[in-house]
Amino acid sequence: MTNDDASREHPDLGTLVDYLHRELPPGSDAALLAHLESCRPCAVVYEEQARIGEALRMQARAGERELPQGVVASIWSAVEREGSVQESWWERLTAAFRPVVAVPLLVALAIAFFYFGVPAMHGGTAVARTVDAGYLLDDHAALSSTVPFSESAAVPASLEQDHPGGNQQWVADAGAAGGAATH
Amino acid sequence: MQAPSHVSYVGEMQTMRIGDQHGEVAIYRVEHRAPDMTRKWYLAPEALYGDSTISRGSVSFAVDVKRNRVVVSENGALDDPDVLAGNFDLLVKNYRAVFGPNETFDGHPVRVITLINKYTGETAMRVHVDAQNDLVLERERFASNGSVVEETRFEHIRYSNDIPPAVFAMPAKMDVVQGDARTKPSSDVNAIANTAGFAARTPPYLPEGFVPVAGYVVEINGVRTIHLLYSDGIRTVSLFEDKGPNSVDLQRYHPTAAAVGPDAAQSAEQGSTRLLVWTAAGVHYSLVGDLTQPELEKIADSLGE
Repeated sequence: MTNDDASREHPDLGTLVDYLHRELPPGSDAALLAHLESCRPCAVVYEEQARIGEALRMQARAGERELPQGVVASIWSAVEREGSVQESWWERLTAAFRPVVAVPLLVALAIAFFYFGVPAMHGGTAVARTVDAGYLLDDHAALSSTVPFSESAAVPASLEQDHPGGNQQWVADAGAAGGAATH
Repeated sequence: MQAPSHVSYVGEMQTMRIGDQHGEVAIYRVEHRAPDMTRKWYLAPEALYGDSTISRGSVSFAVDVKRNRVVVSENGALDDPDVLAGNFDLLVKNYRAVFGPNETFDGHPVRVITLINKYTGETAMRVHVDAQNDLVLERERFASNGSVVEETRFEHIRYSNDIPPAVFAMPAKMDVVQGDARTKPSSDVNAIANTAGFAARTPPYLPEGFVPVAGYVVEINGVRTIHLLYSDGIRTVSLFEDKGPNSVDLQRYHPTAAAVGPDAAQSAEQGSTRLLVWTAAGVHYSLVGDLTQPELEKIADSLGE
């Protein structure tokens, strides 16, 4: 099915749910968005699914229960009993090389190696890159579009160069106290 | 020119932007279906022939036939009516409107409005507005010496309420790629500067009538950058600041050497928009706007004070 076909045909419920959970491939996602904008009946079904999903989430949150106190206490008692058994040094050494211990340990060592060995990974010195000035021009034009009689950039930068953009992330509500999560 | 929310039309537009050294021209066929669907189909320059942009409100789709892709972008600034209204108040505050003799264009009666800078007395802009539906049919912007720096005009236009939605549909069999998704800007420029994560500065000097309008905090290649916009209602200038390792590549715009105080700088232009890029005390600055080179340099110099 081409994007053109998809934008005309009414989606089934499964496809709508996939769309709601952002699980469709980009082309199908965009085609379905176009369809919902022009097909009121399908938009109504979509909105209903969104409401159902939200109601289920609220129900799940309301239904969460803590473990009974007696269960928690018995677990801690078992843990304390395990810790009080004296192990020989040999038993401790062989325990450390059991796969259930050795594998996570090796993974942790590998992560630490890459994290501290690659500066960009721990937010230290970011890798130097060039930013095409076209993106600054695009950003300027986008913000200036709110000025009366403005003309947006004659041509979007994405039509003039190979890189489509998308390497910038705008921080939402940056004017609010303390900033906010990355957009 | 911002498409109106109440008029649908089909036409051909030409836009011309002239800098000191270079100019750029684009010609495109435009279809606008009120309130907010617009398609531009490029006829010139040759490199863009066949490409198009489709916008629906704040979301736009750049259809690139050569690369067989559609780049989807979003501009949250267009969703903020307060910013739009505030900037119109700024225009009225800084410019005096003078009505010229009525004219006709393509058979349509037109009102001519000249906007004169209240501080300098210079003509900044002239617009030709359709007298019946307020659509801007032609817009000219002028430099301080009276030369035209920008002109956008319809070559011909036809009003129609029968533009089918299919005109604005996405083309089939093209890769869809995510471009930039800009959030709504903030109008609290000081708060933006304070969230930069470094000692960001706001310019002590600005041309008369200019005020901070809006801004963002944006991460470019993982480097936190602030983007502040200043305007007097017609002219605009953006200031970008960051303290990371990114450098700005101006090669496509034929940069020339410049200086900001003791610091080396580069300047370039795209049409009538100028760029000035430099580094001082470990902070990278970029000024982008439709001001003259001396005005940009004066703003840049004030940042070093």
